[in-house]
Amino acid sequence: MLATSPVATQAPGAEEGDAHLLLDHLQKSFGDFQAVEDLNVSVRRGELIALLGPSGCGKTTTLRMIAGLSSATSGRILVDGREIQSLPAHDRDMGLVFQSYALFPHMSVERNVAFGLEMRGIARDQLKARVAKALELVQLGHLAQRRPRELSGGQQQRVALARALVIEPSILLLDEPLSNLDAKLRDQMRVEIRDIQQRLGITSVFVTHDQVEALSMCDRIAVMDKGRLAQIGTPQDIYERPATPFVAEFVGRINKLPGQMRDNSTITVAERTFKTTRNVGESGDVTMMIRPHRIEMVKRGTPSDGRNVAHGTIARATYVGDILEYSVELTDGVTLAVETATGGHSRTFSHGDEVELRWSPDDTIVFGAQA
Amino acid sequence: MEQKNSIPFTIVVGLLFIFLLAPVLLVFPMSFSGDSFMSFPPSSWSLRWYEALPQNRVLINALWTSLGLASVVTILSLVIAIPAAYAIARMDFFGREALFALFTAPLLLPSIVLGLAILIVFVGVGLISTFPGLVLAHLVVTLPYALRVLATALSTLPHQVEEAASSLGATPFTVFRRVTLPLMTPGIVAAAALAFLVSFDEVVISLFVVGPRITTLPVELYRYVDTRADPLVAAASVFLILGTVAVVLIVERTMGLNKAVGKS
Ligand SMILES: Nc1ncnc2c1ncn2[C@@H]1O[C@H](COP(=O)(O)OP(=O)(O)OP(=O)(O)O)[C@@H](O)[C@H]1O
Ligand SMILES: [Mg+2]
Repeated sequence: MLATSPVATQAPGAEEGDAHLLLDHLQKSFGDFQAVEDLNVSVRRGELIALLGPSGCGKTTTLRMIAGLSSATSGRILVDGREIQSLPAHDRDMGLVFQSYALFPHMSVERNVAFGLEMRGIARDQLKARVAKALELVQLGHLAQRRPRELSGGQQQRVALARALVIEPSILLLDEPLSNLDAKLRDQMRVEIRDIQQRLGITSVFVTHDQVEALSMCDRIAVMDKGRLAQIGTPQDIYERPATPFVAEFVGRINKLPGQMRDNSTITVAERTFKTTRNVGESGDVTMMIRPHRIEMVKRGTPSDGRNVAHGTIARATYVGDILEYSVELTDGVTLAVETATGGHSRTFSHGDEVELRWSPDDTIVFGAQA
Repeated sequence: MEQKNSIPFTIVVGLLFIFLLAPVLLVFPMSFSGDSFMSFPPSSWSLRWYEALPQNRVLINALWTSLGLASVVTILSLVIAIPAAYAIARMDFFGREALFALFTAPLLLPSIVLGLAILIVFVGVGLISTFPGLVLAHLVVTLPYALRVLATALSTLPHQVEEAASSLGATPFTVFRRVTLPLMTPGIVAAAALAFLVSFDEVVISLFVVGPRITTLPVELYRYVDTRADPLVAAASVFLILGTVAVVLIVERTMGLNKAVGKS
């Protein structure tokens, strides 16, 4: 590495300001392989931030560096403005839920959860009460005496969660803590985690590759791609104003059509023209993107009030509970995905219906084609 | 083995067992012989050799020496091999592999070569025919076994469990005491049993180190057979076999032999 410190202060990194946890030009390589590259994230006190990204993008590696279980190749980690790289893991007061749970196999569920409190020298009766409360929270009070190997995967995961929550750490690091739970339990646990986190004001980093989880629970989302930060922002920022095609495609479903910019607000896609208000200086070949549920589907011939319009035929309709997913073939073979809510007043279409699609120029996202 | 053992396979294994164990099993009838010479089958039966055994001061003294020696060797093997195995399995330092190879090399050397080498070194420093000399000589053979078994036990222990403990606030020493050590207990029991048996059984290397002042049971038995031919050694062997079986059973009971030796 070059001498990093002068560069670090100049380069546009995370601003220190009121950050509780700050990752500054964080870098981790395994041999030639860069697992985490130039990561700048600033987490405010009491904030719950999601670390979202595809498998292998460096989420676990990042958490391990924060927790002090592996050392950064370069860059700094600061807590309350103090560098902590030299602080050993056991002095960092961070709770970590391991992706692989990492429960103590020779201890009962209760002893597992009590371990962190024992290390903190909590008095016996208070310890018992807190352990019981934590187990109640993850709905495992009745299994307190079991060994980890006598539990299901989801139960083990909840023990891991209770073990990290019970110590009420100043920073909580969660590595896909709900990945093994059923949908209902997962919803309940999301609420519980969010509740504790807000009540105690615990600064938290929540790793997930479930975008619904990230969007619904977290104050802000950091999207990672191949070890780099692709975008960081509020759920709305990430969803409505994705900074890169990768973010647009990774967070939520999206239609992708190749086209050309005619002028700053007009795109042609295979002889059709559409309007956009979302072009920031692209010209020539571009990729146009529209969220499936931002497309309204009506019978042909209804007036269009200035929105983008396309005609097509329903090729496939799939019922997925809350929503209906349609695949609509436009006349020249281009296919668009469209989602509508089921029930209520929205009308349903079936295979072969001729429909008109409409969407706002505000929802018509444009990226340069090479990206 | 996944599939059911076929009948021919079972027969072959059975025959092999008989072939291997027959000489050992012969010791049992022989020990009840009434004859003054070893012969099979004995012409008469008696308990006279069991009565003669406790009268033999040389053998009894050697037995106590061997038991004491094996105990001391076992404890020292663990005290040395546990930290060594931990360092080799958990720490990343230059020459790690080389160190492990060096530690386990005696497993590959013929005992006779080791014995000779030890003799040459010990003569110079006055360790021949001393208890510390025997302890050191035995450690050369027991340490590789202990280290192997403990390193295997440690390598199957998931490192993340230790990391979890430290992230919960446990200092490295507490992690070792509360997590690592309990989880490697099966390995420690196996290593202890192995070190004890190897030391208690050791003949070749002991032969080079024993002397008029101190001697071990296997060496004395060997000498006895060399000069006499009565079934006293058969009676002694029965106790040795039963003792060994007892140790193996204890290991098996505490955690299953396969697990202890590091298989599956
Ligand atoms: N100890 C290691 N040695 C070499 N490469 C490693 C090591 N740990 C992780 N990697 C590599 O670093 C990259 C990032 O790994 P990491 O575990 O951080 O991914 P992740 O984002 O947590 O993925 P997942 O969602 O699958 O858990 C991967 O390509 C992985 O193969
Ligand atoms: Mg991971």
